[in-house]
Amino acid sequence: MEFMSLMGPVLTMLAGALAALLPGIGSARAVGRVGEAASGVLTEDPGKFGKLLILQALPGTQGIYGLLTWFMVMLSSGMLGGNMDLTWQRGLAYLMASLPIAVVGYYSAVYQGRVSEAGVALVAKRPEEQSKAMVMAAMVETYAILALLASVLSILNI
Amino acid sequence: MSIVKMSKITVIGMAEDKSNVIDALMKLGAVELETEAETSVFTTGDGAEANLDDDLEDYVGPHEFSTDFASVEQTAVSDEELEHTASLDAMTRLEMAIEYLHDLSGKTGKPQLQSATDRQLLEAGSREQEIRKMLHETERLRASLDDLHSQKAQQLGRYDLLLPWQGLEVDLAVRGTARTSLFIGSLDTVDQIAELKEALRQEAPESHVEIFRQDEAHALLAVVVWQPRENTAQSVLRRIGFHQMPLQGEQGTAGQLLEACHDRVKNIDLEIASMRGQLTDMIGNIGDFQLLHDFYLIRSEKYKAMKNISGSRSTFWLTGWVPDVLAEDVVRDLSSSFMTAVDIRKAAKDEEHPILLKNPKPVKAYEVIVEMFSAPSSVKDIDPAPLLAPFFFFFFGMMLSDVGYGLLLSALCGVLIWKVKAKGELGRMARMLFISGIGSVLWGLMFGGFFGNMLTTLSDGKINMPALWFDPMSDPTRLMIWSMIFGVIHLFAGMGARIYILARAGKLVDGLLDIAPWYLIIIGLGLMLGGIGGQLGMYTALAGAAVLLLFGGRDAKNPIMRLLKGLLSIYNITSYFSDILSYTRILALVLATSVIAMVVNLLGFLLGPTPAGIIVFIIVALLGHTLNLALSALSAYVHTSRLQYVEFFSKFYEGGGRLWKPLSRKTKYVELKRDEAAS
Repeated sequence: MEFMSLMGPVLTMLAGALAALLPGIGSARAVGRVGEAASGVLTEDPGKFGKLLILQALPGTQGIYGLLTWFMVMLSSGMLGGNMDLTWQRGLAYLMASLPIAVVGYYSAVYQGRVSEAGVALVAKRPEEQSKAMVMAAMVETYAILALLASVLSILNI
Repeated sequence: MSIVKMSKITVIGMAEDKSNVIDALMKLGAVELETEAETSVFTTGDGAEANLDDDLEDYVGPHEFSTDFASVEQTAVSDEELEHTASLDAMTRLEMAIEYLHDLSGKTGKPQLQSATDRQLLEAGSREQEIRKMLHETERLRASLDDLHSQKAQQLGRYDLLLPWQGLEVDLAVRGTARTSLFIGSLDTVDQIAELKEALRQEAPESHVEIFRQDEAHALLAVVVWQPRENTAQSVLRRIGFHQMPLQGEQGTAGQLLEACHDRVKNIDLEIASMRGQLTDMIGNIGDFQLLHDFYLIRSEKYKAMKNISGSRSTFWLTGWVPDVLAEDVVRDLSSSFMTAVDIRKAAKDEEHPILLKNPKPVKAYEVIVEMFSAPSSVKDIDPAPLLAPFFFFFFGMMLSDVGYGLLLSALCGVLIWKVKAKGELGRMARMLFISGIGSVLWGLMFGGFFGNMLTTLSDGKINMPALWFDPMSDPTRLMIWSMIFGVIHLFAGMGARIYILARAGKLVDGLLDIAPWYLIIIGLGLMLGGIGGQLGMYTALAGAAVLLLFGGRDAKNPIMRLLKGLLSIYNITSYFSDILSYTRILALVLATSVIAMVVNLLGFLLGPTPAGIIVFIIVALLGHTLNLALSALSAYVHTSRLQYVEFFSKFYEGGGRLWKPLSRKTKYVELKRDEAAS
């Protein structure tokens, strides 16, 4: 019985942790990759720094969405205020609700990073086409946004 | 509020006027020349231009075109070509000199623009030799200054080498006596001394080792060996790791050399100071350098334009595009000053011409968004900027809905526009974001956001920023529905534009049968979902679908095929659904902006309203909100652009046009005064 009363906070914590963890890893990988590619271009033309920095920042949003979901879980469950009185069913619900952004966030970050990386090559040759590279990368982010909405709306309705 | 109408201009004149005509056109800045590849005066089947062909042949005869033409052009250009390459080289040198002198003057930022009149620029051109002499002098001074600096570094290196040997009263030139040889040098560790002594005792016992100085790091010593054993001793020294002093062999003791070195450095310092003084005197020449640079720049533009102009031995001809409104001025200007034949004709309806957009200021700010996608095609498109601008303002503001962030963004852009006077793409982006920042302030008021919930956090819940509309955090579903409704309005506007374009092309029926039914379907389905108006929604949607079913495949002859095709066109509903759902990103971005701001406030205020807590809060808030503003503004910009490009433009806009780039006088350092510059 003691064990089951602990499961609520543990599952809730796990929900928040996964939401912050996986998209965070994905974004870190993606931003890192784009940064490597961008540095290569900068050796030739340091003047493109501003344009490339924006491309590098693009796949970073998934990490933010993860943090956002973590915050929503903590806020909605009351754990941010120190509330530990959560049933295991409620904890499990939070865990399920955080899955969309946790999983989709990770993959969308990684793939957006690859599009951004290709965008770096585009900007290297044709800097005036930067906005197109940005929009292509933003296409991938759509799915992270949809997953974020699914997660957040679920959490708010638990 | 539209694409500016263009006229095609054809100018034929005397070869001796060619250069002056180009000058005049550059000054006017109103004509884009067509390059030779595009010019097809003598090959096209077009009636008017073919006549021109005949007329010209009357003047000069066909013979000269085919044979002499190439050679005339070649010899005429080669001198200028040399001049051109020379001035390109001079331009880079001038740029370097300007930058160098500017740095030297201690001013920060970029060299300032100076305003000048035409005459000043030409006058600088006539003083070319004199200014280039100054340039050469600057470069010479700079080179010798660099040389002095490296000499100084070399002397300082010698100084470091000699310093440990100070006090050794031996002339470094002494290589030994009649029977002995002397080696001066160092060992890396003290242990090596014993090792060396032992090795010498065995292989060259006549040697003597004199320790000059030793500490824990290394030892300085002199080794005297008997000449017949010199080779053996040398190999021993090499084996143990003895470094011979590099300066052994120079005249004088270490002390004397040090003193010489010291004097030399002093002299070099004096010389450096005087060089610097002379270079500082050169700073006054920056202005002349800038003028000459831009003189060259304009001349090289002119050269490039001249190269693309065809002609015979005694004539030239050029074609280009000029905005209708300026056409008369150009014709008047050219015919009054030169002996030319100028022909102007309006662009035909189905003729692609370069694009110039004309919009009032707030809309103009958003042209940059259109141009990043693609300039409109003069045949197939309308200018999308007036339609795009209000929606961009609206959606961007919504995504970055925060009074604090909006004010900050606008303030930053304001600094860029009016203080830094940013030009080019940066300046245009700044203008666009300045206006969009205001949108974000307005939406911040609607949703009640000021740096997230900063006021609530700081006042411990006593002061709350009121939301004029509602707080998205407490009712996200409501915002999601509204996002989609705004999206539908956006899409409807795009579809309306499509119908307008079709109607303009005389295909109004297509517009009404293919596009308009979707208004009915979407509105009907919306009513059904919202549970408004009872059965009305269903009938509206069905009516729309019926039109599509019956007329969607109207080009098919076979009635069954026609119905099938109609059915297929209803399948497009999926693309409309995904378009509308795409607008829910507005909700996600609103939440992202405000939640991250809340997290920043929460973290910053962990210590509460104590003095230390306030200091921590200020630091955390500064860092956190700056970061959040940067990322959220970027997201808002990228995703608003995406909504315009992918959802909105796909409804009506094709692009593929080319921006009008008139032949004009581009300058880098000099701002040509208005009254004499091109209009």
